[in-house]
Amino acid sequence: MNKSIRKILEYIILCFVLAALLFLLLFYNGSKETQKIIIVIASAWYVLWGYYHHTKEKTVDLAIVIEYLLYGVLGGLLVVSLL
Amino acid sequence: MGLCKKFDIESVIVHNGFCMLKVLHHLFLPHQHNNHKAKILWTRSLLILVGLFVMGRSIVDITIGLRPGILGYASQIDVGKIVEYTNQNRIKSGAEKVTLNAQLNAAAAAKVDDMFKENYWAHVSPKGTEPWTFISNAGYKYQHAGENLARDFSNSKDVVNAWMNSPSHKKNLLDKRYKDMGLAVKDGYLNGVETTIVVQIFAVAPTKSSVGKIAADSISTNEVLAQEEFKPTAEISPLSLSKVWSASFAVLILFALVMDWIFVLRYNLIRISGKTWAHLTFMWFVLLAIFVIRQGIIL
Repeated sequence: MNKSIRKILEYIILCFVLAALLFLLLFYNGSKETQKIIIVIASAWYVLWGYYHHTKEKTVDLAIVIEYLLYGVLGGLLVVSLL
Repeated sequence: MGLCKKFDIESVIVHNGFCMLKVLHHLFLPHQHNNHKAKILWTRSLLILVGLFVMGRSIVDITIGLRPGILGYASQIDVGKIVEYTNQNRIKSGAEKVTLNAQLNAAAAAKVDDMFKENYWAHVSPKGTEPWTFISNAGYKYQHAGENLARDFSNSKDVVNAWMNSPSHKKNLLDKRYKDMGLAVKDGYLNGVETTIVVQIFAVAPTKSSVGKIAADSISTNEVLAQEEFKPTAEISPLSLSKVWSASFAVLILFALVMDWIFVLRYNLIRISGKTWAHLTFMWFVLLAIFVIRQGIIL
């Protein structure tokens, strides 16, 4: 597959999954436990996506994995702390 | 001498302003001195941001624990406004206004106290006590009665809106049979977490003559009750404060990421790092999630 098409596809999948999780958050408003699970899934998904994307790009390295992990943790914390 | 002093102060101000700009430039814009990546987006800075966020939240939580009056959980929930919004919705639907009733207020307060004491969040207590028991114990003889519960809301309008968005609660709220209402808003601990519970009880007495008597007896007493027990205590609700605190962090990172993206594009920078577009997408998700999440629960 063409490299740029693959990259676009990966970004579309990232956006689509995050949008779906956002919809689920809205749907499960009032159910705090379910919302916490959704946020954890979103953070984990983002870290895995980053790892996969950089593996394909052949740029994966520990610093990059830690960077994605920190974004995942910080993003998750910002939302979970409200529940 | 005076001129020299003035000159000194001006130069200090200019120097400080320049230093501040330099720090902001270093924090938010990629350039050769920060390895072409805004300092705030460095791994170390992200770790510091995580620490700062946790510290800020802890300060809010500790403040609430030590001085509940400073950030009262029920500070934004006003009984008068719940009555107002309830009656607005009832009038819109063609139902009559309900009036606060002292006995039903007492029943609602007893229900909240029981929920905190027995540590439960349900219409029926773990011991099997039904809502109607509290109404009868308060001395109100009812023909029909209903109960709406809410917790963790930051303001009165959201409470009533949440009830209106739920078919079963809406049915209670707009039921044409009800004439009287009881309300209680109290702070306490459920499963070790500080929370605010709102109990709304609707009822109607069995005969027309007794309804008239109860309503007439209770109006003045209720006004005093509402003023004394449920007067707002603080301007800031910790629930809103938490939202603002989380949103500020998300906006700060989003701003740095947007600046980073613009500079990377403009100067065609190549660096080994995570993808700014991906981080932007994720942080947008986080910001939207912060606003989408409704903190309150109804039952």
